[in-house]
Amino acid sequence: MTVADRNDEKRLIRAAASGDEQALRSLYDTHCHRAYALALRLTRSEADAEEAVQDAFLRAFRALGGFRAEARFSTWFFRIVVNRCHDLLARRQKQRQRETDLDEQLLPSRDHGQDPLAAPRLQAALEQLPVGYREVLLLHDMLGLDHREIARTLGIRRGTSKSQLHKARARMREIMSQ
Amino acid sequence: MKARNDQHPPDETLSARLDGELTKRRQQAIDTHLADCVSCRQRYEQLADLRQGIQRLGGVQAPERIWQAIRPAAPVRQSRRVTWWMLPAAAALAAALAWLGFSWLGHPPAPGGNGQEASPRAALQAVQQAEIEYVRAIDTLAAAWRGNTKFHDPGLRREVEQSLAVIDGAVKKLRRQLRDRPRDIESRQQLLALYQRKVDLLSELVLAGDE
Repeated sequence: MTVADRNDEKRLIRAAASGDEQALRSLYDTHCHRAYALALRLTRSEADAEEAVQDAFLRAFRALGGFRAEARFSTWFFRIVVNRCHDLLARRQKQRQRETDLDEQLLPSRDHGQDPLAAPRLQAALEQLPVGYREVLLLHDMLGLDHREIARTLGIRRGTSKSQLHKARARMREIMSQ
Repeated sequence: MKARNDQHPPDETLSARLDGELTKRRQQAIDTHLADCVSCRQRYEQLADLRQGIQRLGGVQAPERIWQAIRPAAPVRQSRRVTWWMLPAAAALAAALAWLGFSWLGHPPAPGGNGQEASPRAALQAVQQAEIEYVRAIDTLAAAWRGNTKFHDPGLRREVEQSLAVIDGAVKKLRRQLRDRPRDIESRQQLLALYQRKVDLLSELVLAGDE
């Protein structure tokens, strides 16, 4: 991101923080597709991804006044998206537990991310990765964040981000070779 | 770390090579090995394909209904919001409009007037009185804006001050014209429009900083 881009982002955030609808929409347009792609891969459900992204934007918009301008908006925002996905996944796990305790035969099947764009083998391999590996892999290879940004987004060290990325790719290759 | 040509580097090292993270020396060693070893080259290509495949997963479009769900709950600024600073400004504006209305319609402002057309002198007085009220409203708004610490950006402040100075210059010119031709309706309308522009500009600024 160049200095000019950074200044543009600062101006946009200032306008959005003051409630300028156009600025809010512009922030949304800039980040919604990547946020949705991330949420879709993490939650593996279109409905959950939509809920996570919607919630993340509302939280971010309401907290814009306290946003530190020296950080990049995307880093801060993707952290909120990841956290919302964690919350939703935890909620789904509890629901599943409750459903298992009931009669599974009577319950409708859940949406597990019928995504026409995802190659089935790739999606299946992704699902087998540990959560931490999957997050780093998606942030780096899918969203194009560098290790410094990933470290800030996930609250881990830069070295950990690097090492998890390479392990994630190795694991993915192994799974897909089976 | 030395990579001998007969050693097969692990996937993690090949992945680091893919991202250009190895030292020059290490990279050369790995590249030499890849040139000779078919199985490692195959693994390297698989990792590169995998990286491309993951990148392509990002090509999804967020449905528009997400924004439609966000919009009603988003903290969007209302176009007009009554706050403490608006009260004196609003009162001064109402008075200004009343005086300008008098000067246009030609009715005397004093109660019990006979409805005759105002004299040029009375019309001029009405415009002058309206100006005083407008200036009072503008002063209130300008003080509210300049006192707002949210406007830290000196560039933005300078831009606003320049816009205000342009309006002030035009106001000054019109006031001179009106001194010579107090019954010039067109000049009075222009003057009102300028005052209103200044009020609008300051109102927007104060609203923007008052959130």
